[in-house]
Amino acid sequence: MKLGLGALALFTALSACSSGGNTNPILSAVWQKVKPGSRREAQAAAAEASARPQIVITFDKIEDTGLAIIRARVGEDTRGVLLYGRAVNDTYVTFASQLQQTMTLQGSLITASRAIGYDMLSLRTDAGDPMTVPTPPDDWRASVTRDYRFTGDTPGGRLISVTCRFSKGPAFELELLDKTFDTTIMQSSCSGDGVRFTNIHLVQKDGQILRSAQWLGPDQGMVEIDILEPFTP
Amino acid sequence: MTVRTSMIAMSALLAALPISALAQGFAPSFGNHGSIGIIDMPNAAMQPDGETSWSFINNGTSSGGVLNFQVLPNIEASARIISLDDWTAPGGTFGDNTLDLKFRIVAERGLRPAIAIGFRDFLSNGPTASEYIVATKSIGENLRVSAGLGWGRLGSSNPVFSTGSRSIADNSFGYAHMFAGDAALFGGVEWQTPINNLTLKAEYSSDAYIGEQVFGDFTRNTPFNVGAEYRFGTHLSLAAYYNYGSEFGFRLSFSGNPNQPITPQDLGTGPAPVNARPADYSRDMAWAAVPIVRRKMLEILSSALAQDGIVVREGRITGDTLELYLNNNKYARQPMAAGRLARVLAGSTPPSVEVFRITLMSDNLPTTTMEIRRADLEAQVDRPNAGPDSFASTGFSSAPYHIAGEGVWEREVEKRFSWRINPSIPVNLFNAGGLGEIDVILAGSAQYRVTDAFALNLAVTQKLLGNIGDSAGVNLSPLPHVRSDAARYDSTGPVVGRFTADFQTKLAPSLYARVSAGYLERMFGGVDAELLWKPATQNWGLGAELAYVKQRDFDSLLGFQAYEAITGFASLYWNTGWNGLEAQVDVGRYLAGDWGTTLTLSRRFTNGWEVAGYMTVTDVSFADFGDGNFDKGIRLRIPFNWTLPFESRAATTVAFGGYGNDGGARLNISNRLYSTIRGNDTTDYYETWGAYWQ
Repeated sequence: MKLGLGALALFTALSACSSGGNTNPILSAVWQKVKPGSRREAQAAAAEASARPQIVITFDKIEDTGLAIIRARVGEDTRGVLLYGRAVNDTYVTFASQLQQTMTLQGSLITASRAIGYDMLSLRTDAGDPMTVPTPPDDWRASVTRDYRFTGDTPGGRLISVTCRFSKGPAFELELLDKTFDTTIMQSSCSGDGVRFTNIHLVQKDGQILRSAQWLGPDQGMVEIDILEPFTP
Repeated sequence: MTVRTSMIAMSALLAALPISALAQGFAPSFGNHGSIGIIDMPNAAMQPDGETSWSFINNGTSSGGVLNFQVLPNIEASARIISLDDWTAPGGTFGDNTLDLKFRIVAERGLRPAIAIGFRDFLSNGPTASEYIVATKSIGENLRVSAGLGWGRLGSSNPVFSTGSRSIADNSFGYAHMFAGDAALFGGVEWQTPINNLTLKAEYSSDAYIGEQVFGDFTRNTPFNVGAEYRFGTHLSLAAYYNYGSEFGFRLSFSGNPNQPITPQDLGTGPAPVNARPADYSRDMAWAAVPIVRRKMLEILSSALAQDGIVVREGRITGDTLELYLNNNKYARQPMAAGRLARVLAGSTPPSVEVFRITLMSDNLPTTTMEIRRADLEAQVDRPNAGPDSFASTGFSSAPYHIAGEGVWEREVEKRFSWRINPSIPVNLFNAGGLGEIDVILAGSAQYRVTDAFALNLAVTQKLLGNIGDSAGVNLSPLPHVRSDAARYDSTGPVVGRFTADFQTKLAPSLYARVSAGYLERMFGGVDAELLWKPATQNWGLGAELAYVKQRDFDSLLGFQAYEAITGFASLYWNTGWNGLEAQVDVGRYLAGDWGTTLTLSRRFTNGWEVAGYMTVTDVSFADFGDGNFDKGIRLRIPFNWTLPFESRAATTVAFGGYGNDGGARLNISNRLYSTIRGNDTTDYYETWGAYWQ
């Protein structure tokens, strides 16, 4: 009896309407899912999307835009989202998607993310980190220390400090958009403050990183990015 | 110092120390009291910090609900509202509301077990009052054993020694009974089975269940209990027990943790990227000499910001400074609104504007002004140490009621008339039977805002169905019936819950004022005035409130009864800045004419979750006060943001207690000043400043 009443109380507390037209956001979200015709609309939208001719992205098209562009994949997403260079501050370049999801990169190292799940506030790394300046695979230093900051109860947030050790792996032929690249797999094994993760980078001979899987925090996990057009000052 | 007092003091001291918890073999689980434990017996395990749970329990001899909260990593609290069957007479139930506390004084580490000291029905010698010391040790990853020593109920079966005499359980308030009388051993084992999420338990109980066997048909055949718990994910668990060889029991628990939102955060939109001004940016301020340019600039800015849930009420721009007073209607954390706004301003104002003064308002009251230098913003954005650097470089000050100076742009009063309708379900869990009474009502409210400072408010309810008041008996309270006649107010007709004229303003940058007149709440009408001194850069404030009220007619329409009272309080508010803990002390005269004090402790998480508990002790004797001896209650606030993948400032509140007793009763005023402006001082901003760059 009490359980039923409790559920009823919760439901009614959540349901309200007002002159501002503001219904409860939870109920609104649920209503959008269950309202009559919602499934039909979703199916129609999906059919329309699949019928639409897919835009083939090529490096030529990317170069034509004149923008720095990266592609990010999170979780089970296989297609990825394009993010365009929008701001440059010192050595940090912020890329944003059309939905204003943002990533900040120092060289090829993701140093911040917003609105793609769990935010990474910032990342500090040692000077000369081969992720921040193009470094040929044979010249990568042995290790760096990095400080990740996530939301917490202070302005500095929650700090996770790790030491990352680099190791060189085998050569890898990378197919990216309409081209194929010869790369070397570089691995960075990081640990510290109770976390342990491994980032993978596909590095060209001149040190340019084309693809990399990077850790964005204990909640977010790994994110994969393709650097389709690096920022050049 | 006696053994008892030293144990109580030691437990409080040690629990406050930041002893870090090591990972335990498997997740702790609730006992049949709704607190972390074995079955009927406690253990020394603790939940993750902030974990909050609501349990429904039915043990054959008792039933009810339990709100459990991990106050700090080493302190667990449970508020229980239970009904004890056959307690006062055959078939007679006894409603009891208790506070249980457990302090872990040693965390488990290596071979050392965790050790905790606990209190059931803290500071009250009620039917369930007991104290214990318990040790818990994980053996491997799937086994946990506990052993302890209990007093009170937990010392009633096969006692091994005695520490003096213990008075009978008479519900008296105090600590003299604690750790007094017979002490007995208990213990148990918990096993995480190979079946995922299934835990089996067995225990030896030191509770003799004497009271239950006097009038009831309960028989304690054996001291051994067994049980099983199954967890459905991380938020729901179900347990069943077979206790004392004679009774089955069950428990259903819902859990949540403010530190672990149930949806990913920030799937909305990110902040606007910021590009620093070029080194040779134009410092020309000629544009600022043209009033229409300044006004148009503010109007356009205001219009653009409104689409993002930020409503500018006042603004002023000069050649090098922009001042804005605004209401943040979207972002749960105020620094996030300020940070996003600063980014927008950096990208949209003339380059000569160097200083942004952003004042956040609460319910049209300006609170704190943040002064952000644009050059600092440009130097910090996207950099690793941006959080601490930006907090250090931002200036904070108390805001005056209006922007000073000439050329201030003001928005017209927004939404002069507004209304809201929502169903509501008031629950009275404190009636004599303890089984709960409940109504379903339709509540409507409307506001007509005459000016930003002055508004008329109306709240009306209509009962649809329910039983509150059906079991009201003869009211024997020796005090003026300021609350104990509550059931008589719950009539079936329309009820005017509030019809007031409310005026609020700031008399000085740190001094707030409010006057409300009319039908203030369901049971009283009159005039209520309040002052609050609360500098923005200070983590404490002082308040004073004075009211003259008359008791309203039972139909809650427009008439009054004869009873009138002058009630008033002096209040101290202290935001400790430590783990989100806040304290409030109110001293004064309550509605029934009694003098006393209310202590409120709350813990507010940076995402807006809040758990608050309060207790009121007045010069009314415990005997005259009635059930519970003194007023106490708990309030839980859960922001919708916790369950949503986008920003929202909406929240829902659940409160227990403060219903039905005449002693320690205060006016129910919904717009008290501190509750309106809290969350806006520098201590709060420090704790939530991580959101400034989000």
